[in-house]
Amino acid sequence: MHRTFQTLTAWILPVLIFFLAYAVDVRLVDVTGGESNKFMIRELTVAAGLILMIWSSRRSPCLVQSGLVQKLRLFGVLTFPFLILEMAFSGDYFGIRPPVNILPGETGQAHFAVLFALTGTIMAVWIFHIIRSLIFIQQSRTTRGNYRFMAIFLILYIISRLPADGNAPILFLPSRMDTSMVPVDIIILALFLFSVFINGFRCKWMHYLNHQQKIAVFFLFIVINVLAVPRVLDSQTWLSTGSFSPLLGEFAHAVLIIMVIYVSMACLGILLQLPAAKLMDQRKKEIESLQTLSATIGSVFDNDALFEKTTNLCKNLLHADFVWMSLKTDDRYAVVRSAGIRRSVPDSMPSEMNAFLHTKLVENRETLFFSDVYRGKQVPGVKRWNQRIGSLVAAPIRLKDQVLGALYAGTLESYGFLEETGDMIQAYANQVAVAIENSRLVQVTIEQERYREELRLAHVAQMRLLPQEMPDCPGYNIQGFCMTANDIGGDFYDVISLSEDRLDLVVGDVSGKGADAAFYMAELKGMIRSLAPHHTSPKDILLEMNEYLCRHFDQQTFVTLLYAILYPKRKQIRAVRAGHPPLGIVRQKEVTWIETKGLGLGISSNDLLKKSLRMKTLPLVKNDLVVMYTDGLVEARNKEGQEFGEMRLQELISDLSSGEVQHIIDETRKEMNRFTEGVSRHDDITLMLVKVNP
Amino acid sequence: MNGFEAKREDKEEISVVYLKGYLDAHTASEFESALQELVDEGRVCIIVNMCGLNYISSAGLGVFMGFIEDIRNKGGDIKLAEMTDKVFRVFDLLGFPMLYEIFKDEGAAIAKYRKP
Repeated sequence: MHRTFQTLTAWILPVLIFFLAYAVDVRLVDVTGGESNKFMIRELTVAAGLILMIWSSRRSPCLVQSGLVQKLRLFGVLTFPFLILEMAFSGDYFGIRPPVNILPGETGQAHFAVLFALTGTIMAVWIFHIIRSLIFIQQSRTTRGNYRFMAIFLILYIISRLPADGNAPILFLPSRMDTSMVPVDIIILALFLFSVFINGFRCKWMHYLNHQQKIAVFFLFIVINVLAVPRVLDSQTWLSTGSFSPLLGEFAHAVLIIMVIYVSMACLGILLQLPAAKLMDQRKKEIESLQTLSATIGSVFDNDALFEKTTNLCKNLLHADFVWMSLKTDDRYAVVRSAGIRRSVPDSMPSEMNAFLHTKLVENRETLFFSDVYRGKQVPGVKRWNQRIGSLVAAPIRLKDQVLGALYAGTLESYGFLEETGDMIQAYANQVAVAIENSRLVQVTIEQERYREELRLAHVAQMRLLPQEMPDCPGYNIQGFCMTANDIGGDFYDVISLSEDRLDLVVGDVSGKGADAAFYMAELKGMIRSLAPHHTSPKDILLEMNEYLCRHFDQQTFVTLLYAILYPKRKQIRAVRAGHPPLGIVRQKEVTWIETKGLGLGISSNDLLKKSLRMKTLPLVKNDLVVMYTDGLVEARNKEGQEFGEMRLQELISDLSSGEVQHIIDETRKEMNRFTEGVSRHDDITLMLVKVNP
Repeated sequence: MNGFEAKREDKEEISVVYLKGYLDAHTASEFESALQELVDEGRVCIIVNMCGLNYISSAGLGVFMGFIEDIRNKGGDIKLAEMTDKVFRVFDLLGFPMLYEIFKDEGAAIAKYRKP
């Protein structure tokens, strides 16, 4: 919808309007009121058409969305036909002049006149728009104001050139430098030219062209000027556009003036800019090279590609004759890369020169710049080097306080480098430093990731080894939970149903580091499960485990265990404690802790363990609650650094003891979460409860 | 993490290691290095003074176990002194009093070395 509206207003309406004016000319449309009236009405109609065309083609996608090069191409494509049109068919050709009163025999030429005028006007409008968009590239605060200044004076100039009275003769168009020009007209002309001139400075678009494009545009503009200037200055003939309507003629002429002035100033600008442009191109390439190096750092672990790129860039872009890079490996600096020179040559540098460079680069961390190495006499021992060298730049590859190496660039002739080049080489050296550090950090991250993954797998293993569901035990209700810590904790618990009258309950804690603890736990769980059916005494089970532990686990690892056997039918519980927090029995809200002696497992030989372990057998009555836990529960810390502690635990289970086992479990979990809020857990929290049903 | 310090003081043939702060998995390595240093120097008559120790985890306990056999084989020992009640409870639960001599003050530990 929008597009059709645009096409309509841009093209069809103006054309129709022009033809309306033409219709007036050829008396198709009759207007009363005399010649001057006719002329006025017709010119106003034409003016309306022109304004509509200018306004709607302004937003044309061709102009708005095209790039700079396309705009310039379009400019070239339009100006030549335009100039040819105006040159080849001057106003005389048609031999007629509006207004009106075109005699019947003359209609043929009148048709042509309208067509030429239309074509010429369209081209003039587009040329004007292109110049306008060029002016507005990279606009500053004053651009818009200056442009409006020019637009206003364009309008005033056109108006000032139109015949003052309606009784203009048919062949009227005054010559350009008419002596009958009124002072006001001269002032308007001067101001118009001035306004175009100041807009001529807005040639920022030329910065976006490369060297070749600039030269092409320069020659294009020269040719345009060669063709256009005569037309502009020619005072005798008028433009073919003007043969249809003086208004259009003046408009086209004014556009020509603008074009000539703008194009001339652009040419001058390009000419003056050319040498500086070459330097800018070089700078641009240098900046791009830095970007390329940065990108290489990000994408590659292996730094060889980066080192190669760096040395090549130094040689090719910065016009060095030879380049080499030395890096520190195992306390020594060795040449790792070279371009334009064999590695053996820098290696065979005289020791004086080497020491000098070492001091300056490594100890003082300076960037060195020598324009005339031999005559400057600043580099000791260089004359004894088997490499001719005129100028030298050396940049340390620095990372904070460390010097990892250096980048050297040299030329055979002296004064081979600009000072800025030294800065560039230092920039490259910095990139190399970043790349080296980046690789190192990536390595570290990979290792950390690996470790994290290890922990995660161990965690998964640990979760799998916990009981997935509790066995049924008529008359009793058994539940447990384990809240795991971020690091691997090593807690485990198990419930083994061996017969109608035997249920083994185990809670344990493996000490030790990280993932190892989880694997030990797995082993232990397996051991317990296979030993349990073959022993009636938990003490024997623990002794067997201890022997295995001492022999197969590492010295620093030990295990605490609480082994209880529940005899459901007999209503008894027998417990052995090996280094572990004691088993508790809650009866009528009173908690009794069974603190029997017992060494932990994996700490000492079986002899000592056997002597230390004590077993206790106790009766159970209805509503008794048996509590088994790990030290993670009482050692859990809150934000203030306080431990949960045995007292709090005792109070908590005492309070909750009358409820359902699942309820006690849930409440304890909630309480632990609440207590440790804001602090990350550093040890697993395990709790197992057995309630004797009422 | 909480702070920890293991400071060594030599008293003739005996070396006393003063533990301060929190001994857990993160700080155990520092304690380990202190003991390793003593073993490397052949100083095997060691007393660990824990009056400044707030907390000890299984990782910390593991350090003792890692050295005790070697030190005892070399004719030395690790004696423990001046534990707080809380820390003593941890050792006690584990059964360490059966393996290590624990003293209420450093002087008694030193005396034990001199007059076994």
